[in-house]
Amino acid sequence: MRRSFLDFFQLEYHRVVRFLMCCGADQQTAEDAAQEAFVEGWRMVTAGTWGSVDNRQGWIRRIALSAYRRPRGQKRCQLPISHGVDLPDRSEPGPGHEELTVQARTVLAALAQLSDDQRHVMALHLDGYSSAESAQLLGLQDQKARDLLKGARRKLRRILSPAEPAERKD
Amino acid sequence: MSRHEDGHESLAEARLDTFLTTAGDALLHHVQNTTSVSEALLRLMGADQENTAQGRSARPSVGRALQQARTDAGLTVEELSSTTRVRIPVVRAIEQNDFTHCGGSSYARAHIRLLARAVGLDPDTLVEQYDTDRSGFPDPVPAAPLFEAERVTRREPLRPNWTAGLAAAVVAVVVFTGFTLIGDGSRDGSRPAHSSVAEADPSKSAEPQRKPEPSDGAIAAAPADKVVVQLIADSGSSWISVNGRDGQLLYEGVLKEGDSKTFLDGERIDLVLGNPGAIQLYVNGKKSDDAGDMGQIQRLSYTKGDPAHGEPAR
Repeated sequence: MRRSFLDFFQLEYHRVVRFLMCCGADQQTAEDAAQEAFVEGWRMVTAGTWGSVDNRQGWIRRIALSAYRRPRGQKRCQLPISHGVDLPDRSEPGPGHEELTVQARTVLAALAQLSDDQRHVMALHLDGYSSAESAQLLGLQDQKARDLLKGARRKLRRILSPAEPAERKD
Repeated sequence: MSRHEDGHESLAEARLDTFLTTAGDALLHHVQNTTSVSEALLRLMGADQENTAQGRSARPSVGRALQQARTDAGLTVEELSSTTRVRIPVVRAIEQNDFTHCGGSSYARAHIRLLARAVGLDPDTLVEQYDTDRSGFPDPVPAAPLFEAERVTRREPLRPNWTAGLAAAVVAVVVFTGFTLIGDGSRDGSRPAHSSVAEADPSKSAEPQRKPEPSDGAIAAAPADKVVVQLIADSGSSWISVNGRDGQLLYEGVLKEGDSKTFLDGERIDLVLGNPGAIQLYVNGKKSDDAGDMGQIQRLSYTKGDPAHGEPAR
């Protein structure tokens, strides 16, 4: 069990960090929350209940996301998320971001302009989750998740190709 | 924000997917390269593992065994630390199975041996147990970047010492030359001795000053039957000469900027101020404006009681 959890950890840890970053966390915060989620998972391993978790990838993301969204006193300084034109800059000042490739930074900046829900669905989508699975993880209606994803994609397209705003193919 | 290269064309759905995938890969790559894999977490999993797998086999962990033996021996952490010369935080950490403070596994083994001997456990068994506990467990070294960063920042303050030293030397030279120039420019021949006059010439200044009145008190409480003069060189240095009754010399020399001197006599004090503009003058506890301007030699006389101050002789 321990071995398999360690494998799971090795496999998923960075992906969970990335997932949280796509959800709008800066890298440090993402790492914190991801670690917190894995600690939670480890507790279940020691308690012997880890085996009862079906969708482990989904579970760890759900826990990590709620860890990220839960304000944690002074220690977790959550950057206030505002949705405005100035948002693209938000993803850049964090340490480490300067090494991000242009593409990754662009996509983070674009994601930052989505609404919270849209961003979460989109982040899960990037990790290969269908909207139905996302709906289940986030506690949303199927239809709601599909709409969010659709809206997110439309918005991303518009942000990423500002020259031709009107062409929509949904 | 930099736009995607193909931004001028419409990003079709497929394109968007491709873009998202590659950007996602780039981000993941970045995360993998920059994230320090949570050593604390690995440690937790290692430590907890001892509590579950080995706890069942009734063998306590290394740290637990040491702690148990220590309390059995009636020792405190502080006592153990002083007998073994292992620092207190390190002892505490080891008892929590945290060997990262030891500075490497060979040091950790040495520490375990020391502590084991001090609390009456078999060092070899414990070290062996330490080794087996570590094996198969991912070495926490990959998590080092975090600590490397720390070490780098810690080392940094050491390097500029040369620069700081050089800067200090330059400042010292500048200050010295500055003082020399000021000394040259300010006053007359008594300059070379000026720094030592105040302290090193007690025969002239302190002694006669005390002779008239041993209780050389503060001017605020100026006795009515005496004349008290305080000179404060607040805006420069000045050569001064102070004479008491019958022309008795109380002091002659340079009052450096920031210095202050008080003189006391039973009847009369005569002052000669080389650079009166630099001097704040207090007579019998009252500020006096008699000193005059910079650069004119000023002669002043005060007698006891409120000064019927002497006429400025020019």
